Amino acid sequence: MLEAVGSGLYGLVAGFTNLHWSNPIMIVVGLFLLYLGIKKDFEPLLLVPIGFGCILVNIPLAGLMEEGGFLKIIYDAGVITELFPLLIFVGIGAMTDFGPLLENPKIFLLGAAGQFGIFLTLALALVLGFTKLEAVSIGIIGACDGPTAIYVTSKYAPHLLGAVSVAAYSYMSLVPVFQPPIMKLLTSKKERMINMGAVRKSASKTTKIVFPLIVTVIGGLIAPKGLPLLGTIMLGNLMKECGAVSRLTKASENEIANIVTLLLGISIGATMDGKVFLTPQTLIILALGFLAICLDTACGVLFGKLMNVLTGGKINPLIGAAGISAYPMSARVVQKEGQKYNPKNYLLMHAMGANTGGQVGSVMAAAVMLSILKGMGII
Amino acid sequence: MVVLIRITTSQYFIRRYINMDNWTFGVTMIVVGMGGTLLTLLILSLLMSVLKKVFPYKKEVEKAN
Repeated sequence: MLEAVGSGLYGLVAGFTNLHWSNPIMIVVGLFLLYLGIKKDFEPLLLVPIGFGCILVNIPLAGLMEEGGFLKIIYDAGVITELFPLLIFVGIGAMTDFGPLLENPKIFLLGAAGQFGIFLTLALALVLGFTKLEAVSIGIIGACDGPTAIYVTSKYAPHLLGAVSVAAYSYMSLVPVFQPPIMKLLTSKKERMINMGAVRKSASKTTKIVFPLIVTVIGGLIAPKGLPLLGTIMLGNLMKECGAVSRLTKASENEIANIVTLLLGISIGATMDGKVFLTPQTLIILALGFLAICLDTACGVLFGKLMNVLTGGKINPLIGAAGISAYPMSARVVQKEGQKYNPKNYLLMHAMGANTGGQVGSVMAAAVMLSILKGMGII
Repeated sequence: MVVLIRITTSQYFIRRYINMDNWTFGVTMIVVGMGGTLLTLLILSLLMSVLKKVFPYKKEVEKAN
């Protein structure tokens, strides 16, 4: 009988005795993510479920990420199949107004320049010894676009998913912190003061409806491997702009996006098991991700400077910083920085144009990258 | 015949590049990736400009809608 009591008691302390040294550290990491989300308001919609998922998966013997565990079921259903990031993209498309971009189409190019950091970081990751597909997944953090990073990583380097997605989402929320110094460093006071005037409404409703169709067809033909990403964001935008399916649009930007965000967040958190997450490799990935986003900002601003020269001083190079995909944070940062040097300067709508260009640019960069990999026979 | 040539060509590419060294891979990704992204968005921006000319903005029509 005593033996049975002893075994029963062991069942109650087994959780403690099976605790790996990395588990308490990861529980603290989970608590820190919760702190960032709840107290600091850094991407709370994602950091709260990610942080909680991280805590859950680091409690031993619960088996949440083992066969039949509820987190494993969610992960297999939505992350492995790439369904969650794609459903989120429908919502993002339904929430995005490409109007400011259509008013000044040449600003689209800033959305391309804002992705150059992806490719530069990819090369650096290769130098540091990562495999080709791991380097691709690390570089994609520079897209500053969580769903794109998750889509690519879950497909080609699923073992890096936790580190890559945490980096992508946390750096997105840190855009207001690290972009201003880079913008200041690369531009002169005179450039920062350039007034671009008001954005005039010049895109018709028909243009706005045809735009997602053209992007889907042309983008899909150039980079077919990225069509799921491009197609879903453009489907959401078409539904918004045509106005014929307002119920679907509302569902995409509210109910569907909210449910999927919760499930995606908690399943990403569930990949942060201390035994696989706490490695020097994770720290390198976090550092490379940060570098990628800084390089994106720098390339965007430098391309803005080039456009400023080519247009005879009509483009304020600061809007180049909004060429990354962190929408609408980076556009707001540009507006704030522009007004610091010229209080009469309203760069917001121009920056919004570059920012939405960055959204398409990040998806396009990922699509181009996947198509090149396919072309080279690597995937 | 055309199909056969295509299959043979793609097989050739796959065999040739699947084991490429990291240096070649990195340079290819930078050049083709950055160039491809820039070119795609340039094409899209040109198409958008055309689109605006084909479907010009009319204040009255927009208001009526």
